[in-house]
Amino acid sequence: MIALPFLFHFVFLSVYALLVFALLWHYRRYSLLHDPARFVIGPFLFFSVIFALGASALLFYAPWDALVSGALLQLSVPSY
Amino acid sequence: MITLHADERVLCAVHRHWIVVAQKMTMVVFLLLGALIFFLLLPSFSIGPSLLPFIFYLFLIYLLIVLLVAFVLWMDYYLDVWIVTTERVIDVEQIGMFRREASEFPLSNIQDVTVEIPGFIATLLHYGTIRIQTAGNQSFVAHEIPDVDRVKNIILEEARKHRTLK
Repeated sequence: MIALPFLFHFVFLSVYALLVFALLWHYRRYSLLHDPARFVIGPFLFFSVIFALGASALLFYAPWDALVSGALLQLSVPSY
Repeated sequence: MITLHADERVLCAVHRHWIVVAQKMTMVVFLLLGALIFFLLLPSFSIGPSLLPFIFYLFLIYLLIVLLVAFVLWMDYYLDVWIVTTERVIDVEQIGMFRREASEFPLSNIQDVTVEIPGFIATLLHYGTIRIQTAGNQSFVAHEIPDVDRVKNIILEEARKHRTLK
């Protein structure tokens, strides 16, 4: 059960990486030669990697067991 | 990918005016501002310190999504391009993430070129609409073209050269 957040996170990152790869491939294929605006790809990739690595690191610090148990408790307690 | 013919040269490649992407990016700015406001107000919520890594995690995922949205908007803007060569005008339009339409028409078929500056902002920022009518009664329109008079002059000059050669 506690492995679920990790599974969702890595599925999300995989889908994100695939989408980014597809977008960059499309952009490089159809942008003009000597395109001066290609520099935009650098910062985009840089910040994407930083945010992805940061999120992956925080994954191990978040109290998933308490969050998941709390969520399950909320679902199981009947509301009046 | 644009493949040029032998002896064909690109005279100019025109993207839409930067005001177009600036307008689209205001949505991204609002999304980022929302996240910033949330973070500024975070101390006022009684959140346990153990939950902070989870909140920062969600924030980073949110930033990843906003970054992707910004890149897709920019790509949608930047891959719209009008290329004027010595033989033809190529109109490439990027629609969404992966869909693309490209049409081209020979300069020899051009009959009429109309330029329109739509208002005060367009006059101030020097952009406008260019409309080309061809011999086949087709018309091609490009909006928010920067320095539209220069583009018109280039097209007319090359079209005149083609008519002279005929």
